Parts: sequence; C-alpha cells; structure tokens
Amino acid sequence: MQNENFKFIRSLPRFKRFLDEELQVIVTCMTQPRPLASGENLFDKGDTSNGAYLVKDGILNVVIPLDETRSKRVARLGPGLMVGELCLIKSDARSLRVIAAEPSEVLCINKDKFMALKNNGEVAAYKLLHNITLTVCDRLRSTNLQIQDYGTQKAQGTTEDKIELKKQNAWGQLVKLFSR
Amino acid sequence: MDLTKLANIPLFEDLNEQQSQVLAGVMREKVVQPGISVFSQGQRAFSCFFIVEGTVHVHVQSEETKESKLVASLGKGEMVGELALVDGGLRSASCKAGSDQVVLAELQRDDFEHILNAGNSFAFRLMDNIAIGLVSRLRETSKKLMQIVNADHDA
Repeated sequence: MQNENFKFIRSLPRFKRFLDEELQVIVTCMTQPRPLASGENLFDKGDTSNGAYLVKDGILNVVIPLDETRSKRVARLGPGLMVGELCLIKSDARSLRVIAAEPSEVLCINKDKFMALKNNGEVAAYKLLHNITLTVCDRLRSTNLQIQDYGTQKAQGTTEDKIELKKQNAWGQLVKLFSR
Repeated sequence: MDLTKLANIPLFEDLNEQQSQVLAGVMREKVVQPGISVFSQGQRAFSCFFIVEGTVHVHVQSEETKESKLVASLGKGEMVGELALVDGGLRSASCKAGSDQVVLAELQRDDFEHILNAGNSFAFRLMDNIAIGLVSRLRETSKKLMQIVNADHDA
C-alpha cells in the first residue's frame, strides 16, 4: 500500500520538488479511508479536522453551506488535488463542506502523524508545510484584493447593476480561491 | 550580522552553536533613517525583515483611489514582509521607519529555503510562525469575503 501511495504522490506536480526519500517520509503519515459513495460527505462545515485529503479517484465538490437548505459550490476537485490542508497548519474546525460528486477515493495525510513528523524535525514535513503555505499565500492575496475592490466600490456609491456584477465577481473569486 | 542584537527575540532563542553561526552568516543588518522607506507596495519581494530597534509603520494603498492607510506600527522583535519568504510575489504593503532610526535584520528568501532544507530549527520555527499567521489571516479575510457575498446573496 505504501508503495502504491508513493507512486501516486510521486506523479503529482505538487510534490515535484521533493526528493524520493522525503516523499517516503510523507507516505508514512498517509492512510486510505474507505471509498466514498456518490453524494457522501468527506467532511462537513464545523467537523473536527483530522487531516488533509488528496483525491485519488473521482470528483469532490467543495461547498459553502449558506443555511439549512441552501449551499453554493465553489470548486470541483479531480484526481491529484488536495483539500482540507489548512488543518495541517492550524487545527480549526472545517470551514466548508466537501461531498463526493461520484464514487471517489481519497488518501488522507493524517494530522497527528504529520505533527509527529514535524516534532521530530523531519525536513520533509517542513517542505510540505512550505508547499501548503504557498497556497495559503496565494489565496490570501486574492481575497485581500477582492475585499479591497469591494470596499472601494461601496465607498463610491455603487449602482444596483454594479452591485450585481460585484456579487458575481465575488462568487467567481471564491470559486477561484478554492479551485487550486 | 552580530546575533547578540537578536538575543531577546523569541524566534531566535534556544539555537545551538552551529545553527546560530549559520544564521549569523545569512542575516544582514540594515539601518534605515527616520521616515525613510524600507520597501514599497508593488515592489518585487526577495526578503523579510526582523525589527531589532525602532518602529516601522505599515501602510496599504488602495489600487483604485490611491488613498494610503496606516494599518500597523511594529516594534522590536516583530517581523515584516514575511510573505516574501514563501512566494516571492509583490509587496502587499509599504513600510517606512518611524521618527527614530530603525535597525533591521534582513533574511533573503534563497537563504531561508537553504537553511529550511538543511533542517535548521530556526527556519522550522519561522516556517511554523509564518504558516500559522497566514492561515489566521486567510480565515479572517475569507470570513469577511463570505459575509459580503452572503449579504448580497440574501438581498
């Protein structure tokens, strides 16, 4: 199983700057949860975080629950993409819902095992942390820009049409943020 | 640079002899006169700074209105421009020295990556620190953006 997981993550662009021996270390903190049926939640908003997930097979939808009945999809993630990785940095509850759009398989980078690697001073763990932080940076820059933009529009007294346009842009931005 | 000046900054505590030496070799001291710019928003970023002495004012300028706003004043032991160590993008704010001279310790991104890959515990600590700070900021700003979107969605 470890060998199969190694081959899979070795093939991903995200890990191209890792040495083989570093990826072998990352593989030791990976587990394979049972496959997800179509429509099944991988996790829900408010759930305790237990790790980051890599899509191995299938499609996952990332969804923002608006209230009891309404939700908005912000991303569709296919094989090789990662979701829920912020918990490897800071252990907050999940901020989004992730649902399998079709029968799917994921690999989990277990948070506790990853923390143990870090406490052990494993360079591989810090390389992964660096890698995830890059995504965070990217999202932060886009979110800040979007908010700044929004604030300016409001201050200038925007017409209804412009607000509607802004609303669409903001959704577009959110979709972009979570699609990486 | 002489690391004794950094002695009471928590990030720099408890380093072994060898790690201290490596760090002393890569950190550069930079002195900025009162009111003079450290870096400007929009410039390409290659390094981050630790404040050894003095106060640094952080300003953000709106791209559309060109209006500039003071967002933080940072003092000894605090860090500025740390996003540069991660993605080397453009500076998202401008920084300048306050009414007194400012002494900074500068760390280049390439040097940071080098000591991180070599397993230097200062680099590990710095990476942790930057990562946690960024996630907190992202959560805050995402929440703000979602509130804006949600409010409009309900309207």
